[in-house]
Amino acid sequence: MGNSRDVISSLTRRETALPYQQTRCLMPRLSTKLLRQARQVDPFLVLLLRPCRELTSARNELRWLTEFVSQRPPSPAGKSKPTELRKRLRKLCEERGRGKPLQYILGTEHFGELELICEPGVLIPRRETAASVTHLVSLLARGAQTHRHPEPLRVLDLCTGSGCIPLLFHHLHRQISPPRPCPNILGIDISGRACDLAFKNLRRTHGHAESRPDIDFAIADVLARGFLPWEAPRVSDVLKTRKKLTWDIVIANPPYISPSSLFVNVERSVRVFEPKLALVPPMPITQMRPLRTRKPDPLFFDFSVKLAPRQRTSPKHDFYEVEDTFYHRIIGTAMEVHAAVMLMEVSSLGQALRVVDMLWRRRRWNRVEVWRDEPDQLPDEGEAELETVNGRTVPIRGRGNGRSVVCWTNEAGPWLGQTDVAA
Amino acid sequence: MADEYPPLSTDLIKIMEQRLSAIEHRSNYLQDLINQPTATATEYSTANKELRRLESSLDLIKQLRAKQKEIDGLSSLLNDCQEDKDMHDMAAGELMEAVEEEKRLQHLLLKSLLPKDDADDRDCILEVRAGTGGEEASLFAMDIFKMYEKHSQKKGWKFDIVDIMESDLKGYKEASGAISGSGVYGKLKYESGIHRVQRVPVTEKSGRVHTSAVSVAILPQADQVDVQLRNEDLRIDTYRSGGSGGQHANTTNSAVRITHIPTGMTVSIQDERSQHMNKAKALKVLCAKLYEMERSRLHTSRSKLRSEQIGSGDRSERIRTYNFPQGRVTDHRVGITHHSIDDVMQGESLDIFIDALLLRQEMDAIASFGSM
Repeated sequence: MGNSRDVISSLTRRETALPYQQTRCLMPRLSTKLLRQARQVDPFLVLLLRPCRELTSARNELRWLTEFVSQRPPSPAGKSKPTELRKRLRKLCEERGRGKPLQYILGTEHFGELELICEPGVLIPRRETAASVTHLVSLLARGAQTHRHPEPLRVLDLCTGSGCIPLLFHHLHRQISPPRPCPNILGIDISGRACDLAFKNLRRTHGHAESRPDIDFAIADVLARGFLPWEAPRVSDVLKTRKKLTWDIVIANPPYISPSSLFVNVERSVRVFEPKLALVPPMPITQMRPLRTRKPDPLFFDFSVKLAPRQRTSPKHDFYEVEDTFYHRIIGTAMEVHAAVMLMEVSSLGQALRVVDMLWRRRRWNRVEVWRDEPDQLPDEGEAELETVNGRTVPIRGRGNGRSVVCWTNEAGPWLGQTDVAA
Repeated sequence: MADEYPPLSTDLIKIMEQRLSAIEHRSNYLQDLINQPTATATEYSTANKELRRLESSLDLIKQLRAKQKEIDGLSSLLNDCQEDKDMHDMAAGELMEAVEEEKRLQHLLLKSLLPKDDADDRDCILEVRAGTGGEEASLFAMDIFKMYEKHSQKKGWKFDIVDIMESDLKGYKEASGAISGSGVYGKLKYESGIHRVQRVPVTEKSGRVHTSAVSVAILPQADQVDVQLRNEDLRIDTYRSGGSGGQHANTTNSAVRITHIPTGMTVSIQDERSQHMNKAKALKVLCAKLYEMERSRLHTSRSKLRSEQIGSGDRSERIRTYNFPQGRVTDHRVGITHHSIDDVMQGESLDIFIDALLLRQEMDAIASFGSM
């Protein structure tokens, strides 16, 4: 505690964005000294050092794994002998050593103040997501002091995964004072597995059905490819059948990693063990071609309207980068449901600025901001607070990597505690 | 019975009488103020608050006055009925009891009048740090930490581990815990200081006895209101994996470090999987530290004499020795030696020291009662 040196050195270690060639070498070889040191304490630490890279983290993980093993005996009646525990601990450490995420092993991850269930096949909630959602609700709380936002607030979460965003949003919204009616939240995901897990998490956080808040999850395809019967329905169809065509806030944490960077700057453990569906958008060809031949959908933004020409950064695709695929659809959906506030997670400042550009072309959004990893903290030295996109400046808030793009209309300014009206 | 309440010195009683009449005056004045219809709401509430504080003393004073009247009556009766032996014996017996009761009340009153540490009722944070002695000190720090944990369990207090930094041999370099229960800080506050151990370490091959030391700090728990913590004064650092973060990475490192910018004080916690909980714990410890800092500042400026006599403000002094080869624990402040070291390490016999220290503190306070 106090002035523990190892923690601090790891806390202050902040690699700045490295060029791709270098990111591969981010993991230095583990020194023999470190390995020997770990072995002296506990041979299992050596296994954990591979994914953890440093002793303090490995120690913490070993402690958590040990607690996990001792809390859950294999058979409830059977006694758990020390050797038996040790054997099971070894198995888990070996799994972890091969790179399996700790959250899949322990079955849960902490997300803000919540502890949510994690299952292989569904993306593990990330801290950065919790930070942006927390910041958004804190702005809403500030706005609630002076202005009334629509009640109940309608929140649509696209690509919801484990349901982490709806659940955290609801949890934080409940703490706003003076108390507001509970928001009405719908989480959408293309994966049935994700929806099942989201319902599981809803039951975990809210117990019985009677007391359950107005949170629901549905299977739908944000990319609106649903022209084949075996594919997921389109978001528009789902909303139509539910008769919920307008929403106040749209939040999304879509897949945003490009196929090429998947093998360059994504951790091995993530690449191997987490679902690609949640990380990398599909190639645009498959979704663009049939759409152009379809009759335009009157309710939804239509791809046949030609996207604004932009500079070609990638020779492979016209119009936009693969990793940006989702943002076009999400922005389109947000416009169609008349959303007044939008929060989208992105992979980097570069992508954030591309999304900002997309938003500005739509002319609906009066205010656009980029939030970094920790939007409630002051920026570190050398972190820009303004960036220019196509001659217009966009404010960058907080500290860390560019993490999300937030935008709202003049109508929603007061909800978020913004009294001045942007031009 | 007589041993339990030794008669107070006449000087002390004289001073106490003065205090008592002052309290009576004050409460009469406050009572009048409350009863007046012209009193404003704030006057009323402050007067009410003060009265409530005086209430327990007043109650005792009333009882004491009644007892004193009874004693007067009994002694006059004793004088009047010298010839009636039965009557005389009975009155004498009654008088003995009444005098004893008076002494008891005087003691209670004295206790209630002695300066009270406002923090005594608070919960506390326990910090144990290995000092000189390397691995052996870390191992002993673990023993001491567990001793307090067991002691807390015996007492029915709640003991939560806040953070533990292990050494290479799984001892504790540093460890902290939060203890809550009624009057925990008041009980444990004299445990702060250097605890020395003399034993043959497990790391020692040739069987020599080593001396090493750990430091123990007991801090009263405080909340953000007590120390007027402002968000702008805090810098919160969390672990960030190198690279792009977000979906690209999945770290389990949930360490949080909070820096209090005005004082430069930092607290790091990495015990929990939840970053949120680590942050909450770090804030708790930070508040306790800031509160203690403020308190010790006030304390030294308010009463030098008292702090010198108690000597607890100074953490650098050696307060207790645990000698394993001789199987004894000695507290250097009260000079008490207990010869069953295992009981102490199991958290059983710690009360022997704690009670002695509390008694000594009370004696010191009484000794300085007249000079306050």
